[in-house]
Amino acid sequence: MKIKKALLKDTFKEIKKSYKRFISILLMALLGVGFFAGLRASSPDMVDSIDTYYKNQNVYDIEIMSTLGLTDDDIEALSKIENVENVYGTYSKDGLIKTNDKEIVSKILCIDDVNQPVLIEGSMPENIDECVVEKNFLEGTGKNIGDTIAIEPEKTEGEDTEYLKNKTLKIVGVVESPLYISRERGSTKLGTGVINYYIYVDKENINSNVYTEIYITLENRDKYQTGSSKYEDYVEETKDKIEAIKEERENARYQELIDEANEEITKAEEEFNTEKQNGETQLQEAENKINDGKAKITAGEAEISSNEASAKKEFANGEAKIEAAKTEVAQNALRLNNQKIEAEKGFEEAEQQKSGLQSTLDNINNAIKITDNSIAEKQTALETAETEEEKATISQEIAELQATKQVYETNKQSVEAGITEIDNQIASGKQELQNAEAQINRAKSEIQSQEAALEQTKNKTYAQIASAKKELEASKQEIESAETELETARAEFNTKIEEAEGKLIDAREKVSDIEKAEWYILDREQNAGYSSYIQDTESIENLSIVFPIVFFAIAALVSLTSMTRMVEEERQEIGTLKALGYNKFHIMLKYVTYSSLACIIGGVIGMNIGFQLLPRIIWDMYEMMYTLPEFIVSFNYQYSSMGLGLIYVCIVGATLYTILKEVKETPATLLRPKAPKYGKRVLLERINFIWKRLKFSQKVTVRNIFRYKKRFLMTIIGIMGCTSLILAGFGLKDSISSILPNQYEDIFHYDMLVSLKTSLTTEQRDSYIGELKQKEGIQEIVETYMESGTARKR
Amino acid sequence: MAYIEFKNVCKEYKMGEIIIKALNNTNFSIEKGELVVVVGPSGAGKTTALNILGGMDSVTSGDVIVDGKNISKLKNKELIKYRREDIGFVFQFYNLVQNLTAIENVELATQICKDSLNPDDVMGKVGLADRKKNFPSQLSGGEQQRVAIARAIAKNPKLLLCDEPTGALDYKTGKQILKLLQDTARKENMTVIIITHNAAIAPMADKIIRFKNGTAESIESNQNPIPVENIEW
Repeated sequence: MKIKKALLKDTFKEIKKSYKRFISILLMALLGVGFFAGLRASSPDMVDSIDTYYKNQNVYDIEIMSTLGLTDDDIEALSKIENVENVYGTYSKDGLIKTNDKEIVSKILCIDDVNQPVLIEGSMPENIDECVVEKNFLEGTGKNIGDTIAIEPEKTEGEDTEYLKNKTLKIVGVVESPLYISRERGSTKLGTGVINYYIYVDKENINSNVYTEIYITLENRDKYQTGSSKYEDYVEETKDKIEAIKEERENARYQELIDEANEEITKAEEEFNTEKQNGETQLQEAENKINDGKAKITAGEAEISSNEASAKKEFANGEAKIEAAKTEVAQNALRLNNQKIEAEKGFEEAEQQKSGLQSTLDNINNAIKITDNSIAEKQTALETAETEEEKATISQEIAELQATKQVYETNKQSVEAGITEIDNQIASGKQELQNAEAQINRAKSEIQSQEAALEQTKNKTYAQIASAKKELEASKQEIESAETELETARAEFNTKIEEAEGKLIDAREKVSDIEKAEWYILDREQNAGYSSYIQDTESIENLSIVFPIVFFAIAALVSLTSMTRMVEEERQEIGTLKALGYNKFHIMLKYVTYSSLACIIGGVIGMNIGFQLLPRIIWDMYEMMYTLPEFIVSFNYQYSSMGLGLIYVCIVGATLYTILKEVKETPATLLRPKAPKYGKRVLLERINFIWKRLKFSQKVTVRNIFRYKKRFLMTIIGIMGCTSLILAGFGLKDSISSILPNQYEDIFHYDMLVSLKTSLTTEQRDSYIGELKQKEGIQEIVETYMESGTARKR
Repeated sequence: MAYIEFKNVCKEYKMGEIIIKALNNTNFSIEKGELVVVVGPSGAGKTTALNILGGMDSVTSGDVIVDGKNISKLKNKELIKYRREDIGFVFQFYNLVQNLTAIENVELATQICKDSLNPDDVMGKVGLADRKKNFPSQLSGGEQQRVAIARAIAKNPKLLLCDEPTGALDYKTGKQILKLLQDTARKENMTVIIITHNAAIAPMADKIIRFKNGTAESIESNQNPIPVENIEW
């Protein structure tokens, strides 16, 4: 059908002329498409944002946890499963941190290639004494980057390994974890039972021989959007495959633990046996020693008594000998005394002889002196003598004198020799006497020394014997104490053995108590933050279906009204055109073009505004609940064409509805002014007593209600829509504000909750509760037992 | 057989539960090239007859034959073609499209029919060569009606139907319009039917049809039609 130029001109001029109407339809399309596209895109935009976030941070698709921990064997087995791209073994544990007298519980995660946290501030930990925390941590604890925190030591029973190698950590940065996008951090057995924050440490800092979690990423997962049914099916399919090897791995881990334990028990048993044997031999040896000691003591006693006897005998002999020697010496001394007296007499005689000789000698000496003097006189005379005769006579005389002197000299010598002989005789006699005396004295002293030596030996021997006896006594006591010691050692040994046996039995029991491993195969939906996020996107999606319907309905009604008015206004023109020979398609085209243009222009503007504005407004609200690094807004062709299509159907449909009704009429009818709707009698008129009382204007009103049914219906629908929207708003407010009273007045009646340690005994518990009951202000105490569990779909 | 024939034509309207007979067994015939004036009181069925003749309304019973074609039996599509090519209509209130200039209003008609005349020529013919760029609201009533006539005759129709063309005009202007119509009929040898309640202008016609109570009461041929200029009323 060829579009007629003049008619087209008319159409555009019409738009110009009635631009207000055109804009009102355009605005309806704008609002309708904007709301529809914007609201509908909000949910995909949110999903898109988390999808991008999760892909960027390499977030897991499947998570596996086990009651007995996970090993490298598990990782290897999982790597072989179809569709599995990467398998990561990681660690996480809850830890207590004390800051400012406050006790907070933190999830301690390790930095890995999977679920990488986003660094917001500072730097990532590079060694084992550094950590990064979430922003709330800094706000909640008042710490800053650069401060240090200390993880409290674990109070684990039996386990001697600490989770962290280094417990004093320096905060070096702030991160956001893709695992915790909501405020929910999970529950714990520590502290208040609620995990407050999460922190990340270096993987090197973890001290564990098993992984606490295994995270799996799937191949080709970039093809699927998270949360989509295709993604979920893909994950589910892989989960089924993991499910298939689950039991085998569970058993393997269980067996591994059992084997380990058994091996340890066997080792312990062996050790126990050798120890037992060692102990027994040691005890035996000790006993033997004691017995030996006892025998030695008996022998020693015998020896000592025999030694004593022989010593006594010897000493008696020695004493007798000494006695004999003493008597001999005494006799010798007596004899010597007699000899001495005799010798004294001899000496006196010799002394007399000597003094006789001495006087003879003196005479001689005098004679010599006289001679010498005579000689000296003769000599002087010689020198004075003048004649030779005198000299010869004097020399004669001198010679005679000298011969006399010679005789004298010879006599002197013989006398002197006699004196010397006598002296010698006395001296030798004296010497002899002295010698004899000395001999006796020597014998005496010898005897004395012998006596002393004997005494000494005697003392010594007796002392030795006494000390030997003492020693023996000490040994005896020692042996006695050794015996008691042995007794206690034996008793100790027995109890120890019993204890060890008990322990072995316990250990064996424990081995049989080892529960079978149980694997939990989870996916993202079990992550609290993620699942509530996805649920929220779903509720927005539901909302985005309901709300635009209202807008579309309003758009349809508004365009219906304005197009009806427009068509009615141009009734005559339509008639004229028809009269001129235009067919109904030509005529309809004008109005369809008119409304289509309004609709498309409005729709395109609307979708561009809506795609930008509404997702952001909605995200603004959800941002209070979720932490995502970036919200992605994108132009969605599907929803834009859908929204435009729907609004087109509504507006152009309404236009077609009005124009079709008109163009059906014959030109003659169209050229006549439209006949007003004829008034009808209404049912109320039959009820005479009411009708009678109505005023004229009231009667007109009542009749008009039935006369203009469409107008009436529109009014009703309009009021209905507005009322329901307002009511829905109030209702929403009402139902939300009644949640709190419902929850905390009708469901929860308690004001305070006290968690008790499970290790308390019944008495301790009762006494504590009794104490509590007496506290002022406590009205009632209800004891309950709470336990968290996991429910799974079968 | 006459060029136009109305045979036992009846037309009934339903207004709620009431049936109004607008035409009751009407018969008349018109020859080719005749200038016909239809007179009668209001509600006599003149306009209904004209509408039926112009293919703008259907008949309840009877036959309407125009140039050998029974238009009462035409299908909707053929009826549109008939209106488009065979009929030119002039209304009492001109019915110009307000959004379009004078010439464009003429083009509105010429663009859809085959043997149309040149709109500019036609505008010249009706004496509005220098006003063709004006919008209807910028023209006087007579000028507007002339545009309407130009629009009707530009299609080069077999029949020119005029429903009270002077009804909204003053005496002088009305006379000019009637002259234009009479001249057109004479010059183009066009069959022209003019409805009027002013019986005074009847002498200008070749044939005068008088309507009363939904039927053509009398049909009289005027052998000596008087030019409009000479008619006074």
